[in-house]
Amino acid sequence: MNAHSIAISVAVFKRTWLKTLRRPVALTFSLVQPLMWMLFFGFLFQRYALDDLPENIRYLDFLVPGICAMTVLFGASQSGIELIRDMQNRFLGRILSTPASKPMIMLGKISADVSRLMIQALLVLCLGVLVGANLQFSMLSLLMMLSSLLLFAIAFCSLSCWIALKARSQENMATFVHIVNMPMLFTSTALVPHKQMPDWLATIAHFNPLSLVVNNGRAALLLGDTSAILPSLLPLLIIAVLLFLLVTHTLRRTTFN
Amino acid sequence: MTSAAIVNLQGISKTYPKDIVALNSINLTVDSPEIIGIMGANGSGKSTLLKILAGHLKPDQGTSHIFQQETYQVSEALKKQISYISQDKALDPEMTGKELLFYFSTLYGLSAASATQRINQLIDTFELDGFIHRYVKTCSGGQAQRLHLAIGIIHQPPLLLLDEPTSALDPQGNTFFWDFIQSYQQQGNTVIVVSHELANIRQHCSRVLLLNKGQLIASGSPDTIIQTYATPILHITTAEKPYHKEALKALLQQNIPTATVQLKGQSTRLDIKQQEKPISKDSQTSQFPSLDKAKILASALQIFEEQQQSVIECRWEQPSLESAYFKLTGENITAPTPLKKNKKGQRKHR
Repeated sequence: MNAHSIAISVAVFKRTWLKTLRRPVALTFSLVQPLMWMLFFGFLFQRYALDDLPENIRYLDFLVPGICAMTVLFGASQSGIELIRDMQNRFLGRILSTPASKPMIMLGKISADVSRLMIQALLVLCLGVLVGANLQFSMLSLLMMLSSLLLFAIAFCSLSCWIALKARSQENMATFVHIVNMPMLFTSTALVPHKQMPDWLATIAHFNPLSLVVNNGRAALLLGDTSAILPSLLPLLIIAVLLFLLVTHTLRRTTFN
Repeated sequence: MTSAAIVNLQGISKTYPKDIVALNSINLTVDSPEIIGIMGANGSGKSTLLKILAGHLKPDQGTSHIFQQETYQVSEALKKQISYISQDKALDPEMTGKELLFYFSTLYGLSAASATQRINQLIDTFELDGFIHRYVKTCSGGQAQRLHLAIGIIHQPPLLLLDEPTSALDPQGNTFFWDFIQSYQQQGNTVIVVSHELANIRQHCSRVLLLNKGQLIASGSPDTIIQTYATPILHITTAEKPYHKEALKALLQQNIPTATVQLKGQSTRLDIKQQEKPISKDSQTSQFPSLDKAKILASALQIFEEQQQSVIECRWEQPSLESAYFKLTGENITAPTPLKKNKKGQRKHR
């Protein structure tokens, strides 16, 4: 990696952010949506009994780390949309016809999307506190939670971009978003504790990476227990690296005529 | 193959699905910087040829080298040496011209200082200063086209491949563009341009390739092609309508057997056919003997005199690349029709 490679990633990073900021409606909606989930679900299920959790933890407290992870999931799944726009106006073909390193292009793109998602996740935490969630903040707990979210975001942004490169149309991309997001959310522990799920769903939730992220967030922000988080980052890291390599490989082989 | 060939295509063939033959055994060698025009009717294989040169398409047969490097799966080193500028303006509508120029200068590896210098140069050359800070989506077609071209040469490639680059330009922009590629070639670069603008091709290109249904039917300098293939037309105007129209026509036809004669009022038009058999023919092109225009004119005038028709004007219509193409293919070169977009919003073309 030399100065030119880094400059490429920085240029792509800047462009991705520039375009994000030029679509303020989409950015605002991405914060309104989690707020609505917190308000509706948080107050709808405020009397929901949470087994195996300390009594002082209410459903809203339990929900906020789940909504944070959900925000990252939904946001990451949109990452490929910008690639499709670039394909449709042939801009991506033009980018690929330059000598710029494709892994560095993808690194810039995914870094920008992931950084946006991290900011969104932090804002959702703040919104959670504003609507009354009781969370335990410390540097370590935040760091551990954000590490989980970061790796998950890298993995899902990479997956979304890979789907975009394969699908090449917004309709196909929308199908992916709907088919993957909702089942992913409802088969995770984002909304319901693992032990209160039917057995079959609990089994699926156990292998759902979103559950891992949500559980880490709860361990950090509700229980203040970060000891189990570090080992659990390894599977997330492996998934993130593999999916990033997959999308980079696909981009290398992509031609646009 | 010349050791220092800029472009070397040997036996290039490309067939699309449903057995659509786009190119059939095309050879092309470019040894020194020049401007080469590729002409042909829609679907003749021009864009396919350019895409193969740019490394965007893999030929089914044959070899394609640019600067001694295989073009398909084009290397990063080769990408710095070529630029393929498509007929679609591949720009991000939500970015400004300046942002796009800086973006691509980075992707092409220019340092910040040299990028600034180069961008200022391009702003001057392409007269971009009036809209460089505006979003592309607010620019006119001609402005976007100029920006599209400026980005294409930001890295100063020694080989420029242009596919219908002037389609969105007004006459002033058109003149500007052709002057620009002329000066770009004079700086030691090669330009290969697909265009339907025959007058400009004749004026600016040192070599022309005529494609028809995937075949290279003629190549050479525009003047050579016109001389060799274009049908000269002799127009004769008489003071009065001929009294014996059919007799005059028969006499002309009899004495000038290579002419097709048309009489309309006081005007007589003689389309002079080329001899049917070429005097030489290689694998790619044919050479026909040149016509003796003076002899034809003398014969025609003599017939008019014998028929007591007073000739008030006679002139040869300047033969053109279009008539050469028509002579070779029986088809006119027409301007391209707007491309339809498919469901994905991508333009369909070959």
